[in-house]
Amino acid sequence: MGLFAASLATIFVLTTDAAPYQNGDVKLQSIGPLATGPDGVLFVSDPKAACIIAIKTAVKPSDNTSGNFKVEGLNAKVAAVLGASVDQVRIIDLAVDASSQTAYLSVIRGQGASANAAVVSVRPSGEIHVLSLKNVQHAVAELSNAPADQETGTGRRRRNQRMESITDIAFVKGKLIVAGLSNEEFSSTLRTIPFPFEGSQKGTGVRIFHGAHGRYETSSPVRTFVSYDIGGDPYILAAYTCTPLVKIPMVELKPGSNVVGETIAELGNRNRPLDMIVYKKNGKQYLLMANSSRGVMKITTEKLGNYKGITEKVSGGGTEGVPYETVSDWTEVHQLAELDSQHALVVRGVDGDNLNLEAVRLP
Amino acid sequence: MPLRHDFATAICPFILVLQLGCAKPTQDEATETKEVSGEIRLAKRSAMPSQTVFEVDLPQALADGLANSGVLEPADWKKVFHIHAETANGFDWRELPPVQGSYRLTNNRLVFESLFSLQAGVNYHAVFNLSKAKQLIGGKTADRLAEMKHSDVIEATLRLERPRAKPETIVSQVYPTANSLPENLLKFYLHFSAPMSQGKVYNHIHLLNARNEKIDLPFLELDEELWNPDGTRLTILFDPGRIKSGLLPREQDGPVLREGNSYTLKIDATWTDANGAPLKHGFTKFFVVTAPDVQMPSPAQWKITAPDAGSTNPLTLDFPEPLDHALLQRLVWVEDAGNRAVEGQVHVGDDERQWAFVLGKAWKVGDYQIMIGTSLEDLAGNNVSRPFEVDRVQRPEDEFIPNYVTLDFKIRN
Repeated sequence: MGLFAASLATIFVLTTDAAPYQNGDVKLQSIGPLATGPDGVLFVSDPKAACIIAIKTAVKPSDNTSGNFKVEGLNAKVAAVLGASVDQVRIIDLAVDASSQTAYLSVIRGQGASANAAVVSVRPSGEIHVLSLKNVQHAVAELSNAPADQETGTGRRRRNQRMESITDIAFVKGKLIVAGLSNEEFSSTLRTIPFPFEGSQKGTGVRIFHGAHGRYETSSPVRTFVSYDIGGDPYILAAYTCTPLVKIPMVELKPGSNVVGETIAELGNRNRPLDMIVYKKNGKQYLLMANSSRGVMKITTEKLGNYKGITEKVSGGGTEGVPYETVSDWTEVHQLAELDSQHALVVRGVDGDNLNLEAVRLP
Repeated sequence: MPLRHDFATAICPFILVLQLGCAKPTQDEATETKEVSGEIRLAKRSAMPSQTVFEVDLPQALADGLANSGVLEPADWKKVFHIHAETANGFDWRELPPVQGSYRLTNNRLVFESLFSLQAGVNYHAVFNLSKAKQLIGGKTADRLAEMKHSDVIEATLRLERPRAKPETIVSQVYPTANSLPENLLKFYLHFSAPMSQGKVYNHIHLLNARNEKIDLPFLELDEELWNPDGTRLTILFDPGRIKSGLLPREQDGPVLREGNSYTLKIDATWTDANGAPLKHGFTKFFVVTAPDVQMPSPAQWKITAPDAGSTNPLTLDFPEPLDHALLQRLVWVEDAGNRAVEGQVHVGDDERQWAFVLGKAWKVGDYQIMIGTSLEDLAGNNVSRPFEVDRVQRPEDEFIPNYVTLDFKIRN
């Protein structure tokens, strides 16, 4: 595993091809969030190696749109395929390739130095497979990690303890957006990486801040985000570590810039957003957000477009900002992904002990 | 009638064979087993002793038939020989998909190697189905095999014994080390003597008030636990929504820590390390809370003590307040007059109020500078370039912020 960083550098070959994939083995040092892209591309984040790997999956298109997708005991079954007990398996993220109706899970098996990272595919039929990473078409984008480079520059040989967790990734209009959170300084960059990956270009970092009530501004790492359009202009709707919902126009994500996200909703204490999706129904765009303690919230994005943001203090408790409705029958949802125009795929279960993967009709 | 197969333990002393059942055993079959042993066993892979594989002996004719069957897909092999892990209570192993892995034929043995190493302590149920194997090869070989008398299905439950994990790992340190901490403290670093188990850390970390009552949700519970690459240091953040001015969590519940009160950080001994052993003992840190710290660290106020030329004494920086332990290790260093980094060892002490740099050899006369990354924070997340929160009414625009600031010093005779 220790050789991986070195091998990464050597296997990243700059080509003139529009999609500079190469054939070879992908060795993961760790695994974080996943995202799907066009033409069966699966983006896999590896926080320890500080890179994103685009894997060209060989899946066949499917016309299954019946929402007939249910795997009970998902974590037990994934553990079974990995040959481990369920307590040794952690499901990190869910992504769906809609065209092939394939769900992908990023999974960590085991602990410590002997831990393995794996991508597991799940089909509507319930078939579960570990995605082979041997001799696959792939491309790698290394993430810039300035503090680590700086460490090297000092000439000190002390091992760098800094690591940036990748909190979310998404493919938006030809770009991969990567949010991270450092285990040391309380700040974070949001990176945008054009895809196909171009040569050795590293992600463009944007420092993210959060302005509360137009007055108090902090560095603020992004925990999860989703993209959506307002009048054809792409926006990022991000959940910061300090507050639930912040709106950022994509156009502001320029190299080296500082971006201040505007709070559009505060959803109260003891509640953290887990995952978000955006979908269309009857010509309208909606946001669904799974939360740790308040169920799944549904928000109309057209209201986000007009919403001026919270500039005054919220008082008297409760929630503030854009109006939303709670989808009462979607309980214990940990992961959300769009399956097709009618359905979302969710990972749900009590306390993460017995998880199910199931399609649910979009509200 | 179950048969016992002690030879497996002879091959691999750490392997426990729980039971092995042969369907319809007969006297004839007992004779047959000299040729067709009909056993599934665990064996170490010779090229990689750390990898344990499942093996089943095949009748010669079957092995030959399979070898001549052309390329068989894993899905074909899986019908013949499948292994199921007993992963969770409440699930019969027959309901669970088989372990993924690869198959090969070696010396009349069918070998299954799992994609990942077997997990000690887990029961693996192996099933070899002769009928399915016959279907795979077909033709005359299958007819010949049909005349042979041996069991159709062989099952075994096999397990690698789990070495008894001794509780040896401890919480080696928690930073900040001071027992007097600001109300807007942003984080703790928990250091362990060995890699820890990950995934449910917040079950094991508690904050108690002066009455020893647990405080509800004091920390930001991130799915992405903030470990160092080795898994020996965990960063836990206080909920920034309860630190930052004007946000709803703070309005509703107030800050987690309150000036004048005392608290105890408690880490349970039941937290297991990466080997599955609990901590040798739990850990507590008592501290009292002082006023919030809203001042940025100011290098101009730091006291530099430079050693004399020829001395091997450390260069020290003393701060009026504790700074972030991890960032002090990474974001403060020394360069010589030619802007070359000077190699040495950093020691942080005096409750993170002192940074000491040991050169390891005699200092030479010259001009030097201490480089300070502006991301260096104090305990409340105020860094050298900006406070944790900027009041935009009072500070409308950020001036240009360099990545580093410097402090000059001389080494004299």
